[in-house]
Amino acid sequence: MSSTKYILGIFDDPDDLMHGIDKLQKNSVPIYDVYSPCPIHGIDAKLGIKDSRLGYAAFMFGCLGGTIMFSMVYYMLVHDWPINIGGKNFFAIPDFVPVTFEWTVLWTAFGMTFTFFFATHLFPGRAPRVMDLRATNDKFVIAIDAKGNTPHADIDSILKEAGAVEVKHNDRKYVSYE
Amino acid sequence: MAYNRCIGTRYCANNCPYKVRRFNWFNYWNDSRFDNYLNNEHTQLVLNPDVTTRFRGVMEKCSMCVQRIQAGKLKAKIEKRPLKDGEIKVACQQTCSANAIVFGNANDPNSEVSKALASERTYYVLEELNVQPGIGYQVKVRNLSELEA
Amino acid sequence: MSSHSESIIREPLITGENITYGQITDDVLRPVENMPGKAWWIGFSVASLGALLWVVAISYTFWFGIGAWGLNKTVGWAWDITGFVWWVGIGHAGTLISAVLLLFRQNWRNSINRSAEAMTIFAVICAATYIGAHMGRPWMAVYSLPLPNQYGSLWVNWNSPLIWDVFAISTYFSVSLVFWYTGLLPDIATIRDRATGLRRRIYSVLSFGWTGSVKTWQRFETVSLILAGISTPLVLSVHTIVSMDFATSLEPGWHTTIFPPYFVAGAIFSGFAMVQTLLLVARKVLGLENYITMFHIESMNKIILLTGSIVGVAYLTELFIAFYSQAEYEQYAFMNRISGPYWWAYWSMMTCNVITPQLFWFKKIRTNIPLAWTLSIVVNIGMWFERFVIIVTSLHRDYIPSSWAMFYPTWVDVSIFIGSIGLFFTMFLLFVRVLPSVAMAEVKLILKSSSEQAKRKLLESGHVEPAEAEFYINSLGKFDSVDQSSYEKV
Repeated sequence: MSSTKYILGIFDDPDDLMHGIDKLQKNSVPIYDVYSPCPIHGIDAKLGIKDSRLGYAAFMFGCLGGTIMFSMVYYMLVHDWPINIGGKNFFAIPDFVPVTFEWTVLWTAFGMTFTFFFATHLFPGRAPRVMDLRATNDKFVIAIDAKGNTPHADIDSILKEAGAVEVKHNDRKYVSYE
Repeated sequence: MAYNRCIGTRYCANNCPYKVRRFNWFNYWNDSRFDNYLNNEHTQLVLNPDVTTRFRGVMEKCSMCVQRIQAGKLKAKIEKRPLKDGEIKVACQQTCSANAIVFGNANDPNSEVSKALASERTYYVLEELNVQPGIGYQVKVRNLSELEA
Repeated sequence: MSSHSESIIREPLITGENITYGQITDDVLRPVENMPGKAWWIGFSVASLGALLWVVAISYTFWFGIGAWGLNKTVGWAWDITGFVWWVGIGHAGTLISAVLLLFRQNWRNSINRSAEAMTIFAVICAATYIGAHMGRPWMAVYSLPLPNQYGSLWVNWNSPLIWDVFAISTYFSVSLVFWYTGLLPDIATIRDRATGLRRRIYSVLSFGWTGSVKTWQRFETVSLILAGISTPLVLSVHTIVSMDFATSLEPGWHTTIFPPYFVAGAIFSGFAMVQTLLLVARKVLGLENYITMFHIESMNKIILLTGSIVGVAYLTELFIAFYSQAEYEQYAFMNRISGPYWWAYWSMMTCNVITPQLFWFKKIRTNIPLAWTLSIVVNIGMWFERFVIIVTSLHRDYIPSSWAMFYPTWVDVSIFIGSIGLFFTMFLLFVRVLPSVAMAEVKLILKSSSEQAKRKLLESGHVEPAEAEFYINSLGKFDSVDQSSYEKV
């Protein structure tokens, strides 16, 4: 039994990478993941990745932030300790607008970003799950689970035909950062 | 004016159209560059113990002798009666030799100050700004000859 | 989609031959991965001296009191709030570049947004130092927050623009920081994967474990777009709120509804000028001419022209309305600005802000780097004077003549200002050493479609209309990083 865990197809060019994905999909080779130094437009649809729901999270957080601020100001100025400031109305809604808006934005930004970090398992000190160090620099990497049905040689030839500059058979899933 | 809460942004003074607010630029009572009553064991007796000396960085203005107002209110409370008009005299009013200053409760229509402010001679400085100040002035009557006639 | 070719008549955003993805990484990370050169050391020394001056002047103020400044009972704000508004205004361009240009799908933002956003963060830090410094009792600054307390829980005055400022500036700083840092994650990962030893461990912690997988990139782009979408109204609101500090007051010359758009346009104007001041030097010293090209420089100058014109129109509107309203205090305020004791400040402002940006109508001036750099400094000087004129001339002679007074700065006022510039440059120079000053991932995204080499390949393939090809080749003349003569045979 081969000790290879993952087969990596390493490409120089994102268009070659997309071509490689097409060929692999035509040959029913399941793709584990693709790593790139920059986003590739069109790859989500090709790989069948569902749309991100972060937008909905952002909206919810924004509504929450705005509501909290408005309620807080209402409670403080109208309910708890109304103060006669220059004879003005206690419930001066126009004056509440700037701070409500600011907290809507703040909660949207922080809520969404922390949700992003949480969902993607990003946090300071997290050991990076990287399969090839050049994937953050100048190479585009397709990772295929070697324990699948397709023989390794076939996978190699598909990748080479598509234009891979290198094909790697890795015993370790991820690169060690020790 | 809640001195305790003042963080000294001087925004209130900037906005004051009358420019009556004063800022404590230094710790006058504790700064050797300034001559003040606190420095000397005798002159410090001149200072009014009811009036706090503000720390640097705090804004202040005429408080309408708030210490006298509070003292008057306290006296009335102890005696279980409402405040009488003219009971509280602000220091400037008390010392004015011409009786030119009247102080009292503007919310009480029977007080001397309310009646004075209701007079035809009353005007307010920068009236057009509609800041509705608590201090009104009265115009001097000039056409005395017509009045006598 | 930016991964496929774009029209040939669009000017290239990345110039140079044989620029590969790896080349981009190498070029951008050169200052990060190598020892600094002489230019950096000279800049850093001067900036640090400035920062030291700042520390001295602020400490002096903190110890002795606001009386160390030239302020008096009439003029309660002068260099302090001028400096605050100046710095906050400068910061707005960074957010505009990152956020608004992303929403408008302007790919040219990709190489300048990282430095611009860093500039925003440092500028807002400098602005925040002014807020702390100008308070009479900064150790009680926490009273501006609505925290439950023992005064019967005395809350803050939500009707005051100063409280709106607290929330606006803090939100602006934190959202900018989040936007900047999230965008930095892939680039920090790049540094991490090329580093060894302690450097690798530090960058690994800073990278949050970034992998560059498909789902991560998808979410990254969603987050960037949404942050851009909310940062745009945030920028507009923050400077509007800052302008409300003046607009909601009664002072003649302050109490005007034109302030919100006037301040926002002015902020973008001075911010882009500061970006030019920084990047025109940085691109030369750090060898980034291929990524920050003449197209970027000219586009920024066009924005300076646009916003400068808006500011100019605002000045003229103010003058006209002062006359047309026949409001005597407002009229005097402007007569005083034009011909009173601070006339020289007003006319500096007018010259620097109204006349000099109009020079950018001329292409020869727009595409001349030394001139553009000089004019960017002139613009920022003008914008400082604008805030000074607004604040001091309105305060020093307002409603009641017996209160009129002059303002003169003390050495402390001047030192804090110059020191804050030193502080800003110290932070920026450190940034340039430690983090990539160009967003590598975003530039790599547009390499295949918008680079000079991709367009050259397109020309050589012969599938381009001759008229369009000629137009394109002509437009390359202004680029200092392109050899136009090499196109003769194409």
